[in-house]
Amino acid sequence: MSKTFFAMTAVGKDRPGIVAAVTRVLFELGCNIEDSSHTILGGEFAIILLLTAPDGVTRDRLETSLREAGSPLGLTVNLCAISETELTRTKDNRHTLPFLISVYGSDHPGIVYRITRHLAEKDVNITDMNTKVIRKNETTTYVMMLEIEIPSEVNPSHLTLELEAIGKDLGVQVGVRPMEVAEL
Amino acid sequence: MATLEVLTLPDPRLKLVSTPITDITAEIDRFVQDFTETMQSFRGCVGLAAPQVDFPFRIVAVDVSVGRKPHPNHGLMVMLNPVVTACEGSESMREGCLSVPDFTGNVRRPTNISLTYLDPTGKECHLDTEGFEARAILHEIDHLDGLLFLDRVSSLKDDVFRRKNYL
Repeated sequence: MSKTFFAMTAVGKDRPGIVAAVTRVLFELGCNIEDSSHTILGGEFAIILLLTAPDGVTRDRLETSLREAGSPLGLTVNLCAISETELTRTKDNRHTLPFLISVYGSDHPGIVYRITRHLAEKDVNITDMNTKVIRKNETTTYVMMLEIEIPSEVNPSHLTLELEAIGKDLGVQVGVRPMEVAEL
Repeated sequence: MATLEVLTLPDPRLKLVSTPITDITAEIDRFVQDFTETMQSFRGCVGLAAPQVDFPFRIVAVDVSVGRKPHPNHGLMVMLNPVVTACEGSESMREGCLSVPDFTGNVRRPTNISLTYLDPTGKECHLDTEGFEARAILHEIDHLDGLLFLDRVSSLKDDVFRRKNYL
């Protein structure tokens, strides 16, 4: 039996019952959750689910059922079909090295854009990104951690110098270090 | 010589407690060769435990010299019945495991350890080591007790990561 993969996103005001409402629909239609990520930000709850649906469950039927279940909870649901080849293609197949970038300094517009624009220009892929705002008294500190994959054509020490220069310009600290994984 | 198949999650055999070696038989000798060869067949792999290849006895192999970055090390060591006798310090580092292929995790482990073990000839040995090599040994000894790094992390959200690069 061939399976169709779907990526579902749902966003809405956080409240009890959101996950159960979504997963009840999936369970009743015989779908399987392949992977998921859930997070909350400023009272907004967001879900990304990767799921497989059995034959006969069309995208339209799935979307209608999910929207019916989600609307009483104020959820905005979106669904898109993905092919299995697309699933595997999202992995970066180039030869790359993992690095961590940490950025922190007083908060102001442009920090994320200036850093990520440079990475994009160098064809460096961001594989994970986390940000935090730390407020203490009058000062607001912005902290950003990026996991990146540096392609072999890019020299990591050059990239580090370039990012440090951008950091200096922005008035923030930029650190770049290789990410080492103990392979056991 | 042969490379052995590595069990992966959720195989229940990975959760068993392995049996101590009482006698170094010809079978153990042969196993140690295949076992070492299996570890060396994975690029960058610095450790393997016998239960990972469905041999539920207390044997581990480590070779930190083949890691991607240099670390102080004692080269290839095959340890029978390893027992940690002392440990000190605490440090967190990202670990990957052949038996948990798609994920890596931040695991906190002691920095310095002392241990006793038998080498493959049956000689009693004592080792003091630190850092990356200590981590590798502790990760492998965990396998002998049915523990995976997933049993050592405190948060899926903060400590477990999907792999972006595959071995």
